[in-house]
Amino acid sequence: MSAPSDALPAAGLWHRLWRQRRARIALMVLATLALLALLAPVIAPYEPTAQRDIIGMKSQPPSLAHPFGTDQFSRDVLSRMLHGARISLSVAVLAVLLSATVGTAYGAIAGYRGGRLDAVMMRLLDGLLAIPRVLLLLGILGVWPMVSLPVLILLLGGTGWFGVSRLVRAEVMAVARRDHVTAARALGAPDHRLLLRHILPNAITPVLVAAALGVGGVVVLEAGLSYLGVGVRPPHASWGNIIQDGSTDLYLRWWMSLFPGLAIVITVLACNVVADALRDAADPRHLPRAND
Amino acid sequence: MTDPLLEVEDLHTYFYSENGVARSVDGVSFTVGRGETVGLVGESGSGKSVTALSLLRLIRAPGRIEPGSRVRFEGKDLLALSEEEMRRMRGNRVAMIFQEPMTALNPVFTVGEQIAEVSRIHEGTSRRDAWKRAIEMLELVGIPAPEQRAKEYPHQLSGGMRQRVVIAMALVMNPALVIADEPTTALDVTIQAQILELLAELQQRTGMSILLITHDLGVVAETCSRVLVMYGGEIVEEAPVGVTFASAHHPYSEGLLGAMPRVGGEQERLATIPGTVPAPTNWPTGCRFHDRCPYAWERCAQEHPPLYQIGVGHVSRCHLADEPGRRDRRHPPLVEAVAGPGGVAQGSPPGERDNVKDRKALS
Repeated sequence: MSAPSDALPAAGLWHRLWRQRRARIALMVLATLALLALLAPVIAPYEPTAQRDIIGMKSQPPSLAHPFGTDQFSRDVLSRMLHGARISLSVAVLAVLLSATVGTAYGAIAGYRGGRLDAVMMRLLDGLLAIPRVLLLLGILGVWPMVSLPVLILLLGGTGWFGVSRLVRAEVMAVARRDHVTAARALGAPDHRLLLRHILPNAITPVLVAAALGVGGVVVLEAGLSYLGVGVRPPHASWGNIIQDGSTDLYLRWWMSLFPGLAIVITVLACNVVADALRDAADPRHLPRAND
Repeated sequence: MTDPLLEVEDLHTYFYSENGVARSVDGVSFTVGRGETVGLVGESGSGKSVTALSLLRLIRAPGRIEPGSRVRFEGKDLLALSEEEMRRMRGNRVAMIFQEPMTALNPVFTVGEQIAEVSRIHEGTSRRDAWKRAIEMLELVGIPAPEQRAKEYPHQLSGGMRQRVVIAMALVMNPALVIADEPTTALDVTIQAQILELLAELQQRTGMSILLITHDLGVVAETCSRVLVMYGGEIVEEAPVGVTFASAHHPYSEGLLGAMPRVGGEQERLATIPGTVPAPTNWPTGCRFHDRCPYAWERCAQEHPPLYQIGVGHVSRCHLADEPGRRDRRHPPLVEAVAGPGGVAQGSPPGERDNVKDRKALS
């Protein structure tokens, strides 16, 4: 009867996501990784910092006792990777939560208020976006090297919201023009209600997509920083600093860099697939086939 | 009659853009009495939707209600209220029903939640009481199994059902005035009749006034007691509904009537009004209708006609009131003379009725 609206009920989003096979696989991969990280203290075969035999057990290639080998300090790489997953994944998730929240709030206010405030906020954002994130982080961590994990999360999250707020602003501006928002305003809904109930819930999909991509991005970023020695510091294990430990003699201890590297690739790949599937779920015109 | 419920005086709403100033509503005055249904009729771009939004002060930048405009409602000057006072009027004393029931509802909340929201906003009703009230409202607007329907999302309901929900939302606070902007345009003809009946029945019960905005004269004939015809941001004719249909004075009203299909009519083809509504940034000088008018003469292009008194409660913005003899001298209007046969106006098949098909005016 009436033309279908662009806005699909968010209620069906999860359903349309789960209907895609690639999304199911990627989500299960991520769930498995999260579970392994969560259970690391229980399932890791050894203590991540245990040096079992500093001479005899160092730099062992993969074997039954040490499926991913041991490092130059005779520590079990698998155990270190499991514990490293706790740190790498939680840093990424928390940093993205932070940047998604800040970015959504900033973009929503700019987009909803519009006018001069919007112009000022966007110019400020343009300035922030002009700074390369990696260089900014290297600079900060360079002058302030011994950061704790919470500070690292703050730094990663605090430099990751610029893009999100742009997306949110554009989406909020578009949704604010829809009839149901005018209708709610005509019924006397105050500003905060219009924004929180009528606009944001209809503008949140791009944030979800950006967040899924963001988790993968921060995993890589954190690994990179840890590899450069300014991210997660020993004795904490993270995938990045395990790779770094192995990088000094890559041809002697290839397993040390290969397995955490694979873990990063798998995580990022799964995140990107989820992001892609989310985008399709939000707009079914992109869905290739109903059951794919 | 005692004090009217709504009194609009010299309302001007302009939109400022790089292309100039769009004078979408340009000096509109009218009243709506208590319990009365008034029709506001005109084609796309005539300014009727902008008028409706202006009454609720829902015009956003770059639009502006010009100083000097007056909207008195229940004795209060709406244009002088603070933004917060105005917000408390909306949905409470004055409510609005929108044209497209799919897009007028928030897709992410159930219809029950959306109806409940209105009393929560205005009375701070508890969640539970507001929900109960929502179900009562759904029942009132004739939705079967309201407890179940309340838990459904807008996309699960048919167009007619959704429009009933929109009406329910508008009526939660028992407003004195309901502005209905094309409430039936997006609906099937059979559903249209049901919705109009529902509105009439609810009016009987609550005594509310209705300002019905439409391009459909059939809807007006069924529901309204008085008709305002709008063209070019102005009211060009106002008359009791019977008078409008029996003896419309303004050539534009005449044209609208001619374009309306009638049961048992003798015409074989529906008449059309050639041309389209001019751009609000650039209204023609003199009478704004003169280039589409089959009676226009030199005076019409130069002198902007005032509202002439034609009869009791009947005014018309046409110089024919001054020189009635001109009505015998019908001729092809200016737009046709310029466009020639096969121009836009004549080329379209009569069934399409382009000229009365409505699209939302501005924004």
